[in-house]
Amino acid sequence: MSERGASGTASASRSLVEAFPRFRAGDRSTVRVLGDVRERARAFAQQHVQPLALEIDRRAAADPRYVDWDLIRAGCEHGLLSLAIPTAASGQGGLAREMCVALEELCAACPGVGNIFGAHGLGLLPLLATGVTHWDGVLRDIAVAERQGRPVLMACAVTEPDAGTDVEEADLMRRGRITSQARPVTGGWRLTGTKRFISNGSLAEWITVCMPFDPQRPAETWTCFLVDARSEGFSVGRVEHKMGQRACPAAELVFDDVFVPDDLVVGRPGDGMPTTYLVLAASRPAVAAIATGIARGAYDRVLTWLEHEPALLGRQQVQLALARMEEEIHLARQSYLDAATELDVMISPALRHPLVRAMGLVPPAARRVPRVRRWITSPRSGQATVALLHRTMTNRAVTRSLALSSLAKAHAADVAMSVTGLALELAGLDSGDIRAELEKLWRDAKLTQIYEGTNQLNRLTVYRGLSRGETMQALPPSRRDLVGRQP
Amino acid sequence: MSATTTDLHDEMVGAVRDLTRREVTPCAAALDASDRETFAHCWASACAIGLDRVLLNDKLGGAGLGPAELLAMVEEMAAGDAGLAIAVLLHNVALAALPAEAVAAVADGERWSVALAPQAPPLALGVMTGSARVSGRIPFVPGALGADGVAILAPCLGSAALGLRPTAPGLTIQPNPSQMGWRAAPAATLVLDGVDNAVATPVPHPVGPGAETTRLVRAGVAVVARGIARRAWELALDYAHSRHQGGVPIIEHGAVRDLLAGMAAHLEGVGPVAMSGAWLAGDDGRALAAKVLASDAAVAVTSDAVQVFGGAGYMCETGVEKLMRDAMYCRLYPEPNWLARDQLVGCFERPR
Ligand SMILES: Cc1cc2nc3c(=O)[nH]c(=O)nc-3n(C[C@H](O)[C@H](O)[C@H](O)COP(=O)(O)OP(=O)(O)OC[C@H]3O[C@@H](n4cnc5c(N)ncnc54)[C@H](O)[C@@H]3O)c2cc1C
Repeated sequence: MSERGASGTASASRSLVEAFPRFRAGDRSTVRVLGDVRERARAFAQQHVQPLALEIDRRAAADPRYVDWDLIRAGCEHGLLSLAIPTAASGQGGLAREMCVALEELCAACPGVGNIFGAHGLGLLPLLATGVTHWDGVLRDIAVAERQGRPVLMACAVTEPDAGTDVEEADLMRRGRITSQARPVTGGWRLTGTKRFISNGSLAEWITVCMPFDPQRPAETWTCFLVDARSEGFSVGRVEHKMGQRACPAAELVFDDVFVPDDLVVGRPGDGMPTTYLVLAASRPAVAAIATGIARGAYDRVLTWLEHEPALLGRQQVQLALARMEEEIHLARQSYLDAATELDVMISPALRHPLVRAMGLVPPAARRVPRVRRWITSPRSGQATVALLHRTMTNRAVTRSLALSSLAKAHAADVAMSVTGLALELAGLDSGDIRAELEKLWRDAKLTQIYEGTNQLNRLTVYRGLSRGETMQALPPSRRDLVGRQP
Repeated sequence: MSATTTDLHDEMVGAVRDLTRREVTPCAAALDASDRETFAHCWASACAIGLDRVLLNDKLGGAGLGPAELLAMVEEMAAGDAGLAIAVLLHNVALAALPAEAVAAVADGERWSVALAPQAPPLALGVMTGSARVSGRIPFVPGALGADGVAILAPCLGSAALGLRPTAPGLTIQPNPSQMGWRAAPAATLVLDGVDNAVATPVPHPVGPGAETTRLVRAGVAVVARGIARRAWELALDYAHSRHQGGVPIIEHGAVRDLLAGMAAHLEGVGPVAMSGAWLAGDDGRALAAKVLASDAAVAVTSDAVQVFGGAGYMCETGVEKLMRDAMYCRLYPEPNWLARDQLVGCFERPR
């Protein structure tokens, strides 16, 4: 009999380059940085999350508002809330790849807990996609609070009761039924409407929310706002009883004439749809990583269990099933890394642009001086950000990135379903404690085919962006195209 | 089937369909929450229409119907709640497998289950004159928790079924940890430590213990799977007409039509397999094939139903995700499908 290699056990013990062979030829600093993020996330996942996963699931099944804040606080110690916050805003400056490798680790332990951090990242994304405006507000506060052990969570609220798929694409939105609305008032905006299924919605202190300011032209006037959850008129409605990923509550959010000051508009009014595309280009690889983590979690568990079932392990059907799982997980993992890399490379010139770097060199205290702050949050600064985006990326590049991200998301979600199903089938009903864990992962997996757009919608995006080579209006319009869009 | 049997068949299947619509479907969420009161209520209603004695002859207070009728009724019930349908199936199989004198002692309204002992590790049997001492472990017996008795089938018992009450000396009933499917029929692991019981004589009833019982259980799981899939299909089709996205009912989107078409095709495909007579043919291969095909189809159909509902399907409130969980258990019981497929091949002889 042949000897089993060092990595012949569960895939959890593999190194970064074993998981992503392309890095054997890659630059060392990327490997070091990603490897470090991965180790940190893995340590948190294995020490803190995995032992509690089933118990949290059970408690949240009984009470969907149940949240394990101690666990989220422990996540702070591992820097999971500031991972994607720019270093100039006291964060760690991670991009899509860092988020993805961290999420795979977390979700191999518990996808629900992973999604708390994933949905937080989703909430941050619109702020990151729209330049330097919010570096010195919420972003810095989150990073500083994290270092003090106090989690400040974010959520992103786009979906409405009558519009789920419809809010993910401009063409659909024009035909859909959007019922929320933002009204311009002196010094700011008043938001009214209901958002539903919002992950972290009942936990977040800050919420990025999208609404149109002209219901007749929702796609053209879709605007992103940053809402303080303590605002008057804001309330959390029902928190859903759901099939899985229960550690992360999904809530209905009610906006009843909520005031948002002008400086908390995210990007320019009316830029919500292009912002959404950039956000989705970043969040869909993250969902693909969540799905890959779920599949890997199931694979690791069933493989470990089979170590004690030599008779089963000796059967070819079992060996073929395991090989199939290994194969699917490997391909899903490569596809999320491809999508994340495409995005990171696309946005890098903007991040390295002299203006952005110069802004990063200005001490935060100076950036908070009222005159400087006024400039940073002014419409001119917004125009400058858009101009910068137009100089550093193209509509085609964003469309391609979004399509690749959608490809990874839809593929990995299907992999998560098939691998967890296979694992459950291999283990059967008489597999003791791991049965409950595998059942949970299977329940958790289904959500990845639904959120961030159903797999069907994601595949239609792949068709448009890759098969048909279409170019979407994915960047905010430049100044000369803006005529007639003001509220 | 004679004309009167056919009439009785239609009448009873119709009665089960009515009962399911009237009482079971509206209680599906409570049954899924393992609410014992709701279960007791539904069970009493099932007994009231004779669903607890389908296979028994009239001397034993039964309807004297055959396995095909039982399967048709179980499918109807599964469209309301799979856990309850499994409880009905296993109860009827248990009574049919037990010797007449044991059945005679089963009071009205009692509920029994069936434990199919695994091939490996087998139950150990020590036979003394006229009695047997049985030891071993039978994992995951659906509905064993809270049952009034369990009929144990094992190769070592030959054609005899061992009928045990929960209080039988040497029997321990260990609840299984949380189960995601068939939650109205909470499972338990049975541990037998020298359980003493008179070895029953072979049973005269057509179902009988042993291989035939296992075959009926598999065929039963196949029809439960089909019942679940039917319900998922109905819910998804209805929702696809009422939910609007992109300015039209979602049934007008090709992506949704494709999902629905796949579901319809699956249902059509497993219809004949599940219904026909996986059992009547008296053929292990067909029962295994029916269970594998129908349960795989049910998992696919219910997952697609959730997909048609989008985010709403993931919420417990709509009752679709429950169907997915129930369907998965059809893939795992009485054996996982990969093992069933392995056994399936063994059912065929080499062509000459
Ligand atoms: C647990 C959970 C957490 C979530 N978290 C968030 C969050 O944090 N923030 C947020 O904003 N949203 C969130 N969502 C919402 C999620 O993104 C939506 O559920 C998803 O986009 C689908 O929308 P829907 O549920 O309204 O389904 P629908 O849009 O009603 O879709 C129903 C079905 O119709 C199909 N369909 C619809 N339109 C078309 C079309 N034009 N062409 C083809 N097929 C179509 C869909 O593919 C699907 O099969 C969450 C959802 C869930 C379940």
